[in-house]
Amino acid sequence: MSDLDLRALPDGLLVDRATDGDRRAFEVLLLRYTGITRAYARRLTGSAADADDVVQETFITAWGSLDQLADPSAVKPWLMRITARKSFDRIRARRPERSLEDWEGQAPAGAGPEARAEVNSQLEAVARVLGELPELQRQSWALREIGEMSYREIAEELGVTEPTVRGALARARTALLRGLEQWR
Amino acid sequence: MSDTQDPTTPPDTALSDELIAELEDYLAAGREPRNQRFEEDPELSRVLGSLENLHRVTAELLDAEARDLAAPDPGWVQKIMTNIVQEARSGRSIPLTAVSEADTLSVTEGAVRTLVRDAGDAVPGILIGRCRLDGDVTDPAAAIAVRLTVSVAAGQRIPEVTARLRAAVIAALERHTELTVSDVDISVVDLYEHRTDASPAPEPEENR
Repeated sequence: MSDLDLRALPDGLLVDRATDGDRRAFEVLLLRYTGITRAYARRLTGSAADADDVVQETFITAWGSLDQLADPSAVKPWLMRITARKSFDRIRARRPERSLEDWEGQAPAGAGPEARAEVNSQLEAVARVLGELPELQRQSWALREIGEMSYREIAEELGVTEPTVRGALARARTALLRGLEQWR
Repeated sequence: MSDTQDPTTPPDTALSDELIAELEDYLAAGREPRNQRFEEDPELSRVLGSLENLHRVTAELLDAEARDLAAPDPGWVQKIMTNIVQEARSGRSIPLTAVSEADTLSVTEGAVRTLVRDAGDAVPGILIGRCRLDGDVTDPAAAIAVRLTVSVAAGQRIPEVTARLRAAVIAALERHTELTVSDVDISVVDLYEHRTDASPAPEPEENR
């Protein structure tokens, strides 16, 4: 049984096992979704340290409420929603004293060294512009692009109106397009 | 960092928020139904192309970040796993005959599910998903059904591997419990690729 490789299993079966109490299955899910939830929480909170706390809380909460997940194969969007909720809890808890200071020092996440230079530069341009966006735009963008939420869901999450979200996303996209064009 | 229009914006990108939002909604709808104006206006179709390129770059950026931000070290995983308590997974209490009449003895449903899962995982070419014990497990005389969802290794003969699983589950339950198993109900819900190479599972990020 030492060669038992649960990584071969799809999300749904891992969730089934974890719901039955199998910690190893949960650990596979944790490894599978740590990267994307950390990236998401970083964009939402603007802080690498807060993001890591958020992700730890996310998985601990997820373990405790696996039996409430109606469709086990939809574990990724479910984890993303928990990550978003925990990120906003964290932001509310820290207001008003901090904002972006520990975000600024973060290098944009680079692609691997094998990536073509051109693509790399485009990625860097997008990462840089994202890092400079005002909070509402950055969060709207992350909820849309990483969290795959609708305008209405984003509006509820951020406590603003749908037209506000639509406008913030449009301004974020304009800034990102401009960043890409400047690179050219 | 301001939300106001940047005066250095080149004229060709000075589109209104509303127009950008409309173009974006159009792309999100898969460019359906076809919008004559967006597709045929040279400037607008150029912006559509730029937005599509932005989506491609964004997707690559997110993939790269998710790879770079994978669990930083074993300590990270350990810290979370130690905060995860076994708690309310134990389920019903299944009675066992005690050696002395004065004692009561039982095993939790959760422990039995683990027993079944381990027995099933030990069968080559199969991995267990969900395990349910249907029936009144608290009554030793009542017949219960074991319901399993499983993944079978690609290339295995499903009737043979499920027959081995059924035998292994019944043997494990007979050995460790007093449950009367009427049925082992197996649903194959997935096929997995069996790794034949001895090296650790290939991960996309192994190129540092």
